[in-house]
Amino acid sequence: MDTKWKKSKTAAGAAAFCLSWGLLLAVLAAAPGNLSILKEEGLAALTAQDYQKTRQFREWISGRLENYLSMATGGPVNQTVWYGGSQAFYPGGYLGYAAEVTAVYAEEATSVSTEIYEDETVVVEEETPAAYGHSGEEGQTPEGIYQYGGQPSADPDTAALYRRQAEQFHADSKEDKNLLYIIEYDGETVYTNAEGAGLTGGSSPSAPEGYNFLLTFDGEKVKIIKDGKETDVYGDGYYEEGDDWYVPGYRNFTADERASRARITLAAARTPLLYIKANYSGDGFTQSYSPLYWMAQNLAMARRQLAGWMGYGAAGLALLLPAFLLGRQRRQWFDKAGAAISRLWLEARLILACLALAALFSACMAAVTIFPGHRTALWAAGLALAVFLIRLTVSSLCHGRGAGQNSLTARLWRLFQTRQLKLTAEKQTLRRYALLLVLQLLQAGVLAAGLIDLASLLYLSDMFWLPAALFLAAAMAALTIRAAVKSRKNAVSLDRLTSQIAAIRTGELENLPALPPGSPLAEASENLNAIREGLHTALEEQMKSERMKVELVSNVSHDIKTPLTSIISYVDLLNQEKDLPDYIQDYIRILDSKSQRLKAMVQDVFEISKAASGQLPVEIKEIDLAKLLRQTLADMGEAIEASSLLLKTALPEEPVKIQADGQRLYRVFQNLIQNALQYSLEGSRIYLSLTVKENTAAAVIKNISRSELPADIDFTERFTRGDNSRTDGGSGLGLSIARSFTEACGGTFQVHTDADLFAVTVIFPLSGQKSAPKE
Amino acid sequence: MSQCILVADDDREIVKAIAILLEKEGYRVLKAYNGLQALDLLASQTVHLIIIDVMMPKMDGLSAIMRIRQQKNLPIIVLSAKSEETDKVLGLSIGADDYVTKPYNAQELTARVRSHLRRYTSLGDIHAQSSHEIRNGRLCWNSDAHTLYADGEPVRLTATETRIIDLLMRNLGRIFPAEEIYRRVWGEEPYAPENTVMVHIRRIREKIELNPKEPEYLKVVWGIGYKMEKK
Repeated sequence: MDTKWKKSKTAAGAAAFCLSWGLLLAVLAAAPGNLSILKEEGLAALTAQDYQKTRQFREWISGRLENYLSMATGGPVNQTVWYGGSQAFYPGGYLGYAAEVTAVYAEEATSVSTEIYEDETVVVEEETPAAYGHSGEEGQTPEGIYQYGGQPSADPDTAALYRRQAEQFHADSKEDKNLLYIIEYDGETVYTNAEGAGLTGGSSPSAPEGYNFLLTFDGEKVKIIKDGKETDVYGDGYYEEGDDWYVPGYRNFTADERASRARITLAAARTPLLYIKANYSGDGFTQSYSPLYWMAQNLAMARRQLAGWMGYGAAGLALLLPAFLLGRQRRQWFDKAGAAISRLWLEARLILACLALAALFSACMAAVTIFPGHRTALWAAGLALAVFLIRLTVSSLCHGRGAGQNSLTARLWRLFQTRQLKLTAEKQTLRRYALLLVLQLLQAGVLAAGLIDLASLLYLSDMFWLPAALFLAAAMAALTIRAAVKSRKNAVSLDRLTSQIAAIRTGELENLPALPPGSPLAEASENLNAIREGLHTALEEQMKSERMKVELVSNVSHDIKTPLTSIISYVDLLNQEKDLPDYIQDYIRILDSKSQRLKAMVQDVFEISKAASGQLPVEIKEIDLAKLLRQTLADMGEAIEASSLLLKTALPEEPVKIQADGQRLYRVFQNLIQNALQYSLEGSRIYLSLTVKENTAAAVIKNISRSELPADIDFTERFTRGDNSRTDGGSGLGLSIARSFTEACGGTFQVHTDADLFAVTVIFPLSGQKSAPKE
Repeated sequence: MSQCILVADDDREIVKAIAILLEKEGYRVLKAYNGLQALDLLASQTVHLIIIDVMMPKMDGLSAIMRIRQQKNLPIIVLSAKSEETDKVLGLSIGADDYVTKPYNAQELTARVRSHLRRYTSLGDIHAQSSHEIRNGRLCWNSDAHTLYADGEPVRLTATETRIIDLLMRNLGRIFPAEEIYRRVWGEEPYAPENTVMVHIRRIREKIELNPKEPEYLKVVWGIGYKMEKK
């Protein structure tokens, strides 16, 4: 249960995250459209649910008033019956799709040019007069004061045209009872569609039932009564751009003299009804819709859309909280999913992600065209999926960074690299240059193709550009090849140099031919040769001096031994004299022990000097180190028992095979045990252990020093002892010999002190194992 | 008649010391201070053994040994301060019977002199060996009598020591791990064999080696086992 909840929690975290971001992104994408509606109408109009409060309505009514005034005075008709101005009224949308939708309904209206469609200015009326114009602008006086009203033409033909237009307009619009109108001129009713509808014009107008908007123009000013209350039309009395009502009656926007004789009464229905007028005659097949109905419908739709938009936004923001709270689970989920899909090759993942995104996008586009009303929701869903995809891809990319990334390219590259490692530096370089060359040639080709393409885009003649681009590509290729050839030369030099270095490394100190003077690495090669010569000389010098040293020590030890022989011989003879006084016998004993010590020291010095100069003969065989230690202990059993010390051993039962010279190694451990016996604290314990770890055997001897151990002293230095007074019996060479012999056998010798603890570790690689790798 | 030993060394004091040592043992000593003198003395006197130094004026020890070996078969002990393995090999290869390094151990030197003289003079006896005898340098093991002879003298061995010697003398040069020696000599599964075997080896050495601290016959092969060196 718990795990199930946990699992669903992680999935919920991921879902909340994707959904919230999908919603927010969709809301963001839909923001310009929705905000422009909001700006156009204002929040109040949208929330009021009253289409009569919209700017669209006001502008349309103003246009109608303008038209009716024009019709009353005999001027040109300005506004189209059904569609007009910048705002289009059509079924299905508020903004944008006017041209397309109208195109469906006016598909075969041959008289309407497509270019007009493209401009989104839809003209349904066929008989568009040549003098069609905006009377408001035309009527502008030179003083910059607005004048209102149509200009009746003096020309009888034009007057007739205007009249026909007015008749047509009336005929087209009178059936739409959503707007009732009475147009009077000089007290005569000129046009009206309100017969019997209950609308009364004149000086005391009143709207019939169901019509809550009443506008009257008394020749001077406009009066609007909405829901029984009069609306303030003029405000401060001056017209400014952007004012609500574009109607005459302002101080700076007056009707002309003819217009002042007209009386217009308009009434708009509270709830406009759908009214369609189909026109089957004439050249086109058109159907016209009541603008007021669609105005109300569009408003409702806009409101719904806006509400939806805001709702989605709120939902997105609200989902951010769980997405944030479940952040850890979400990351877990994505990490897991990312790890799961990271088994796919990186390239495959990227391509799949791109394909999925593209498919998602086109699916969204299609869905939006089918269900335009649910645009935001659809986009939100699509974007949520897109966010999911992208997040998944990113987490799969993060799963294995760098070399851990499961990528086909990386694999191929690694394969290439490992193959390369087996090649010499020269071959590697050559290969790399070959690769580079191919890449550069491809690059040149791509560039040439691009140039040709560019040329065709710029309408440049291929006759010029093609050869030019080809020439450029060829020139680049030639330069590349030239560079590659030079690089190859470098690589060859480099190879020669590395082989020279390798030769010196292996100790081949014969004179190697340096690189020829022309080659780029000739100087380096010469320097290397100089170094080699220096090394050669130094090595010879060293060998000579080592030889001399051993010879010297050999001679000196011989020269010391000869008198020493006499001393020892005569001391021995003295020793055999029985009837000497006690004190003389004491002297003799001292002489005896010191001369014996001198003898040992001379031998030690000789051996150590040989070992130090690497001339100690060793006979390396496979031996059992554990056995050797047991033998050494057995051999020294008497000495150990004679001492006050206890020797604790921990030696493995099974053989510990190493490669060493047993005789020398015996000396090593003999020295070490002797050392421990000699310098340990009375009654303390000596520990000898042998442990096998991985492929090495380590023998450790630990003892507690009798005297204080100096901290900063190398005990394996010749003639070094724990105390510097040299009053005891040691030659001071024991550890030094032990180290020299150990190293001569290929082992490692370490001395470690910790307060009074003195520990020596002798490490050998196990037999059959390769000695520790050199690098 | 006491046996005569020629001592040749350029260091007069050393010659004197050796002379005193050997005369105490009852030998007659002739003194030479270079190779030529030694050859002269050898030509004019009956000498049973020579102790000779290598580095001497006029004629060095090695040249003298080569000259001597052209005529005589007597034992020659080289006494030299040169202690290196190569020097020993060189000395022995040109005809010396033994190599003792300076500073020498008095007991060891006299023991060697005694050993060589005994073998030299009892040459006839040694030739008359039976098929049950295994000869190895100074040592001779009679497997029938279970007796070990060192320089012709029987060595007193305990029962265990005899069994060890029997095993090792029958397998000259072969290396035996302590476990195997234990198993074959004691007839038991070995428990801590190293100490036990080593103790016995050490005791046998005291009895058969001229210098038990530097054994020539009964040797430890460190890290492997024990063996009787084949001479």
